[in-house]
Amino acid sequence: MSQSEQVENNPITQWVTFRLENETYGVNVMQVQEVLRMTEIAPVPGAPSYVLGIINLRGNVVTVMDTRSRFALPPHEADDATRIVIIEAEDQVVGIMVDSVAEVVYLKQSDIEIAPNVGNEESSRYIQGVANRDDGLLILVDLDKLLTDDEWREFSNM
Amino acid sequence: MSSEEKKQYKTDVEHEVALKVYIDALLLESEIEAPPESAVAVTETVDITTPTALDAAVVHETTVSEVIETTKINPSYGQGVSAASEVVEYLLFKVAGFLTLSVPLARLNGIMKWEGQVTPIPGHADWFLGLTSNRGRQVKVIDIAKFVIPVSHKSRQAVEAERQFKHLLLVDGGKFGLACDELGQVLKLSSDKIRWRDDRGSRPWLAGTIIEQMSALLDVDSFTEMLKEGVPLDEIS
Repeated sequence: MSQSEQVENNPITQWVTFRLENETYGVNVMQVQEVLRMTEIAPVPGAPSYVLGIINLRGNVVTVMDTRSRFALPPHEADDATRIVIIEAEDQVVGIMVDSVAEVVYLKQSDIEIAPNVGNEESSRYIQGVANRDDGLLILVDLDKLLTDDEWREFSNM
Repeated sequence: MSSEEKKQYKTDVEHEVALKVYIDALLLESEIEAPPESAVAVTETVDITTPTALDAAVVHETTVSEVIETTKINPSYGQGVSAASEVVEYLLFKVAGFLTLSVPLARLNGIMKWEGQVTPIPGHADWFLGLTSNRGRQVKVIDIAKFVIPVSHKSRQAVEAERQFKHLLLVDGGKFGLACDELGQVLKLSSDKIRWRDDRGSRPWLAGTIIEQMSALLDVDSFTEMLKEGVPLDEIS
């Protein structure tokens, strides 16, 4: 098999990795627009628990998701390492707050294992797969599935 | 007339002026925002009654009924989204120490100092603080933070904590007083400085966001409508 065929059958994808609690997660680099330091997040009245609030990103209002709440993790006081990753998902530009952003990693398709579909549906639906790396397991997140369709609609309408 | 009364009188006059400007602005808006299919009808109304159609200040009161009639025919008018060039005044205020809300200044009927003389009425929703009186009229005092922050939200802790109210914003002809911690600035903003919400199916009282200050803009009419629906319900239970 030639090298080009190998690449075709086993494409390489890039993932931006971030930390939440003690785990490392990855999101597709194509969906990441930028990474911001912690900034003032204004609360939105009446917003559901997975919404932290809104930020003013160069004159645009961007809704920031409480990723910890979504991942059923305990709240964490923002610190110097805290970042807001601006992503595009479901045709929306949104922010996800993470404990820290680590690096961009390259993964071959063959490195990615489909996540075992056990446990409750709620938490596993947005786990796209996992990849074994020297420094531990990397959990790949399907950003589009972080919220349900109804939740995305609500999200766009903060 | 004491200085306090003079001040109140001055405020009332200012509000009257602001209200006039606001209504005029709404009338102008119905001209500009008219959807294409009904543009002809509106233009006709305007042409007959207001020769200088684009000058909101000269829309005579006699034209109001006619324009309102047109408004009824087309429900898409008057949704609170002003033309980009118009400037409307908004008052920012803070509740529960962290949430900055805003209202169109012209929708306020006055501002009362919080005197703490609120008579709680038992058996009501927690956001209904009780009754107070303003110049002989009863005012239903609303803890707006409790109304708009869901019980399950983590910021609710701040809402439940001991609060220091300083002012009451009177709305709906003075029937309701919205308790607030702190009055902020008054901003003169054109419509494009606000991100309006398209779908108001949920939280109809939230008109949009003032972008720069990231302040939630209340739709006072929807809000008081919900209060009115809510308060009697509580009275029954």
